[in-house]
Amino acid sequence: MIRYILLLVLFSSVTQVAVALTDTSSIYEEVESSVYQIRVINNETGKKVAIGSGFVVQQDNILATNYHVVSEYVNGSDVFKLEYLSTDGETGPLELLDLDVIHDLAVVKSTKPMGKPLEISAVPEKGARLYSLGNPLDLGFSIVTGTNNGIMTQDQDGNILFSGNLNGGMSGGPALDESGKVIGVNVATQGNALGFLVPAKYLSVILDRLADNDFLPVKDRFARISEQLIANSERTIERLSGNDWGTTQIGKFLVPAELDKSMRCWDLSRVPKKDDLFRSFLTQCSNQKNTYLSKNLSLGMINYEYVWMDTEKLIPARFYTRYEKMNSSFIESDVDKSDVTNFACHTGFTKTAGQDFKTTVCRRDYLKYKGLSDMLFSTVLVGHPAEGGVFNLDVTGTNHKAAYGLFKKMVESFQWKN
Amino acid sequence: MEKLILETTQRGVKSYHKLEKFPVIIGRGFDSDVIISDVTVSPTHLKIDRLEDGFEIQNLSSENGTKLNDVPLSESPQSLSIPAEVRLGDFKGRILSPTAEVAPTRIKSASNGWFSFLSNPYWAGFFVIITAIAIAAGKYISTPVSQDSLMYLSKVLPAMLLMLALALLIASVSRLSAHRWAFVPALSIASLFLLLPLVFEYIGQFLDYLLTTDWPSTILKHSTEFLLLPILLILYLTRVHYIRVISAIGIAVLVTMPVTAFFISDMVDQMSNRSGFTPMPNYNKSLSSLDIRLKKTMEVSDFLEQSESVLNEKVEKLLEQARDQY
Repeated sequence: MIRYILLLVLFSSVTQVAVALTDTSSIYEEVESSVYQIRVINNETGKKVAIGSGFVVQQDNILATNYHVVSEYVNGSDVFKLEYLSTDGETGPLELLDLDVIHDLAVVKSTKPMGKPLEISAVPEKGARLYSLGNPLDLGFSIVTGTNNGIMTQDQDGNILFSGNLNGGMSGGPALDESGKVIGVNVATQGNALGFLVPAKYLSVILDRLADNDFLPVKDRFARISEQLIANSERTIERLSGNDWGTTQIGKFLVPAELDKSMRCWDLSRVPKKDDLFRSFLTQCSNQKNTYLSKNLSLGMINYEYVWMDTEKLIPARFYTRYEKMNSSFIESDVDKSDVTNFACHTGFTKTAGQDFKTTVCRRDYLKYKGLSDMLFSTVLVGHPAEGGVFNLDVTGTNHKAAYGLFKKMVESFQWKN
Repeated sequence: MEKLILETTQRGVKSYHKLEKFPVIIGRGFDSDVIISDVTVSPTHLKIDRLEDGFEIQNLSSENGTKLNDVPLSESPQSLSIPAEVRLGDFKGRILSPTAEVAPTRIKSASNGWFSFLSNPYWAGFFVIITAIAIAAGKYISTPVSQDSLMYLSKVLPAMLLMLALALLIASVSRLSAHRWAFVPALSIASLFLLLPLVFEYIGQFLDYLLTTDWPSTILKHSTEFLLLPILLILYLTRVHYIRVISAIGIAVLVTMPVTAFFISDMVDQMSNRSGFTPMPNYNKSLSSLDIRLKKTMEVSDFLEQSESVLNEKVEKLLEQARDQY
């Protein structure tokens, strides 16, 4: 089967393949000396905890890679150090200059010249041939050819879709066009032959910022990260707020449906049984988008859920015992006390769509990332003996003011339909 | 002064012997004037004699001896001043004058009156029925699916069984100590022991929603844990056994010590959990179909503004605490 496919490819595109092959080998030769393995080393054991790829860009001592390749070092710079490994086996220290957690980029500096800097270029047209370089699975350097499948929209994540086999360890390696210029940085893979590249323009932003600053390292990395997270969260919420949400009905409420194309909503209602004494519905929506910060911390999630319960057969006390159990909201995450404070909460009663609600706002702040909060909103219909409705909204890694704005706008668009 | 009274206490019961014909011999032997069955008492242990101007006391026991007001007596007679405490071996007694005042009569509460809710059988019956109803209602309310009525009965019966067993235990203690069964008060106490926690739980939930805070239910829960058993015991001791309040408190504290110790360790655990880090938001989740509350309904924007300033302050404090820790 495999042989068959390979033969088919050879016969069907003989001329093209011949051209592409010369291209691939010449590109490999040209840039090989500019691509390195980037590794995070434990100071005590001298062994690597993470590896990725990186390439020389802008100056002969500046390298670009992914943030997630060096994240271990960013979060524990007293325990780990950064190192490069060249194709001919030479190693040396690296210094972290700047990073962009939103687009998963980092720029590091070497103490000595590392080779010819690669040039940055715009993303070519859809369907163009691309070459992705890196060090897959720590097996040595390799080059992968693939096709540019276009840039995804902003409400996805703006990355380039690359049909080529990216593998672990290639993260941070360059993706080149046919003239050997960098158009993106390998960042992720999904399923079969589906890769994602960060457009190189985001790398240019960091490099320009560094050039203005004589390539001095960023003083407070965590402050830089929280700035980026807050700005990103504000941008996202602003974008969501500007959308036409449409409405969906849950029980007697008309509520916002998907805030955005990136939101995925699922119905998680329990399957009704014949002898049920009450009805209950649950819809959950999530933006499925997290900014990776470390192994157990990813932020930028926006989740919301609607619950509706009603009954014709239960007496109020019995209905409310069940309804009260639905009134419990929390944020699923792996944070511990070195990341965040405890939640501080405030509860009161509010009027929405002419109905009374018991409303709670909880907020916890990140210790390292100043000004960054997780926000939890919960509003619960009260005063109806046989009907109940719950709306929960969680926003992680956000500016609390922006999250307040989103909650307010969502709640104010509720309508009661009797 | 021609006569004396010898007060002896055996198994908590006091008995009195009038000493009229002197000399009086006290001992375990059947030829003694006052026979005492305690095995640490010698057959002929103590002699009390009347003199012209008073009494004298003489230890006759060479085995365990006699103490007068905590001082060991020699074998030679010694003058006796009244009242006096004597100790024959392990056996305790007091020598009193017939004119000594006795303790005031304790007035028995009008038993079976409507207000003596412990000993009136109607009250006991009422408590039992209310407890059964409360348990059944609690189960009914907390299961939002249709169930057979026999199902509820099967939930109530074990509780009733527990109540009867508890009542029987209390009554047996009464029987042993006071030679009365006193089953009605025992039943009242046992049913109150099961009923009151349910009542307080309901009140706690009501107050939680009324005040929009978790404190009332927490306080009521802990007070039930710590105070219910001692208070019921004190009631039982004072009303049924006519024990003085001070002694009853002492006994209640002593008896409930193991239970209290358990709840204290449990509470300390909870407190240390609460003061530590938790990823769970802690807010008042109570809901009530009655919707009786003190907090007024606000406009969403006003509430959010208020919560923003409240939370700013709270989070600032939490951040300060966290910074102090690291």
